Amino acid sequence: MSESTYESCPYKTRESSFYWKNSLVELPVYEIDPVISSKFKVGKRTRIATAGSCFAQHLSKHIKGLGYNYYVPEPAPRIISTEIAQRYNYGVFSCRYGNIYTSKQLVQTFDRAFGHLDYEGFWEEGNRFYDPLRPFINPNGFSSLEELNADRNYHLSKVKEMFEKLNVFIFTLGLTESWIENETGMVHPVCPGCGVGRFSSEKYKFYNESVFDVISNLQSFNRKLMQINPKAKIILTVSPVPLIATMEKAHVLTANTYSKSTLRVAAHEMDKEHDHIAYFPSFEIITGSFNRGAYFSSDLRTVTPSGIQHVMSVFTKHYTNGGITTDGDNENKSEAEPTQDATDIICEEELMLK
Amino acid sequence: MSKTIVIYGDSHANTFLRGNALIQENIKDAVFKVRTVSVGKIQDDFVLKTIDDDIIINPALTVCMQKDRLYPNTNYEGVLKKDPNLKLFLLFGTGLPHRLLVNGNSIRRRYFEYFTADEPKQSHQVVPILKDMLKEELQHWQRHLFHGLDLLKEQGYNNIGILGSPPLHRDYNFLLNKIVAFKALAEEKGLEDQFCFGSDHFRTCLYQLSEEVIKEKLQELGYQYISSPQSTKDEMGFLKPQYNFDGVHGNAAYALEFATHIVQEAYNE
Repeated sequence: MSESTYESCPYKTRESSFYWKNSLVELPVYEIDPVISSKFKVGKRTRIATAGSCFAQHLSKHIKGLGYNYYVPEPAPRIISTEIAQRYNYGVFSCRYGNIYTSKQLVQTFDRAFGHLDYEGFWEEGNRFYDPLRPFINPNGFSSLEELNADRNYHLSKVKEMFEKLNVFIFTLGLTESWIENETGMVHPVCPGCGVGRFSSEKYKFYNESVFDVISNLQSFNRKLMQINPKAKIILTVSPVPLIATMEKAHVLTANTYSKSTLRVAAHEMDKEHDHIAYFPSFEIITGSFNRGAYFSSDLRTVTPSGIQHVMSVFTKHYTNGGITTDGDNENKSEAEPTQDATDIICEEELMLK
Repeated sequence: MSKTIVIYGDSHANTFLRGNALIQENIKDAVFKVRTVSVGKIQDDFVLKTIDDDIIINPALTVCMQKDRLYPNTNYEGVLKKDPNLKLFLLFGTGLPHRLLVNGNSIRRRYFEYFTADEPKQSHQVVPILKDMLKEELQHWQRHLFHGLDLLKEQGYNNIGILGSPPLHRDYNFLLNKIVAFKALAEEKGLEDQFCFGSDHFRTCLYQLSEEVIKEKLQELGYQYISSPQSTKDEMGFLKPQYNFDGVHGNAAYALEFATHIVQEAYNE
C-alpha cells in the first residue's frame, strides 16, 4: 500500500487515548484512565445522592470520605449509634431503599415516593413482618405491621425529598434479571423465597429486561426527575460485579454478558442523548483486560480494594473540582450522616446463596 | 442471723443513704449496707483494659468490694459462710454519657420527634423508631456492664443481683425548671417546652425495653433483677410525684418502698 493511503486516514490525527495500544498496553495499570472528559463536576456543597446495586456503596463511601456532601435525607435517628444504625441500613445509600438493582425498580421507587403507585404488600413470617420491596432493610423485619407501614411511609417521604433536593444522582445499574409480582406488577429486588418470603410461580414471574426496557425505564425516570428537579444531573455507572446466578436458560457467564452489555448500552444511549446525564466507566476499569483480572478477588465477583481505589481515583480526578459548587444553593457544607464507617458492603443479592 | 443487703451503686445508691433512717425505723429484719461507688460514668466504664490488654472490672467497684471483703470471690465466699443471708446488689442508674438516658429521670437530649408505631402520635412526632433497633442500641450501650457481669460470673460470683433504677419522671415543668438548659434549647429551636422531651409513650417504651435487655442478660447468667416497686409507679409507669427527689433520683420515701420490696424479692428466689 502506498504512504498516501495512510495520510488521509482520519485516525492518524487522534490522540493516544483513542488508541488501544497507547492508552492501555503501554501504560502502567494504575495510570489507565478511560474518561476523556466529564460533562460536569461536583463541588463540596453539591448534594450527591446514590442508589443502585451493592457496588454503588463504594461510591457513597468514597464521596463521604472525600468530604463531599453525601446527601442523606433519611439519616439514622441521632439517638442510635453508628454500629447499630448500619445494621439497619441507615446511611448505606441516601435513603433506606436497600439495593435497587434494575432500572424498573428505580422508576417504581420514584413513583411510589410521589404517590403515583401504591403498594401495601407485606410478608408475615412467625410474628415478624417484612416489606417485600425492602426485604433485608432490617436484620429481622419489623415487629408489627403498624411499624412496617410507619417506616415505609416515612421512608417514601424521604425518597421524595431526596429527588426534589438532590443536585447529582449517581445510579449504579446492576441487573436486568428481575422478579415481578403478577398481581401488582411490582418488581422485587431479589427473588421472593431467597432469604425471606415464599416463592410461588403463580405469584411471581421472572423477567429479563431488554435493552429497550432499560432505556425506556431510564428515560421515564429522567423525565420524571426533570419535572420536579430540572437542574438535577445524573451519573450512570454499571456495576462490574457479575451475576451471582441466572434464571435464564443460559450459562451464567453468557447471561452475565447479556445483562451487563444491555445495561452498558442503555447507559451509553442516555449519556449520548442528554447533556445532564453522564456515564462513568467503573465497569470498564474493573473488567477491562488491561488489568488481567487483577481487580477481582478469588471468587471472581468481589472487587478488590485496589480496583475500587482505581475507580475512585478516576472519579475524583474527573468529577470533583476541589470545592466549586455546580448546582448547590445555600446548603450546608455536608449533610452526610456518619453512619457507615465499616468496610462492609451490603449486598442483598448474595442472600440467594445462603 | 439478720438479712444483709449490700448495695454498690452510683448516685442512685445515695437514695438508700437518704432513706437510711426511714429504712432502719421500718425494716427490722434486714440491714442495708450501701456504698456509693461512682457517679455517672461507672456503667460505661464497668470494664477497663489494662496495659497488658487484660479486661478487668472497674477498680472503683472492686476496691470498694475488697474493703468490704467481698472481692475477690474467695473473700465473698468467706463472708457468705459467716452470713449466709448476705445479698450483693449493684445499682447503676442513668448512664449519663449515653444519648438515650432511659434510666433515672434525666433527659439530656431532645427526641421529641420520634415515635413508636404503637402510640397515638402527635403532629411533631414525625420519625418512626424501630423497637428492635432501640433494643439493640440499649444492648450496645450496656455492653461494658454486661461484659463485667460475665467476668463476675467467671470469677465465681453466682449470687448477685441488679436493682432497677427509678422510673422516669413525668413532670416536664419540674424538669425544665430544674435543668435550665432545656428552656434555652426549646427557645432556640422555637419549640414549646414539652417538645423537648419524647412522648410519654416513647419514654416509657425506652424504660421498659431497657429493663427487658437487662433482665434477659441476667437470666442468661442466673442473676436476679429487682425492678422498682409497682407502688412507686403511676398508671403509665412513671414515678409517682410523691417519690421524686430532684427529677432524677428517688427520695427517702422511695428508698423505703424499694428497700421493703428488695427484702421481699431477694429472699423469695
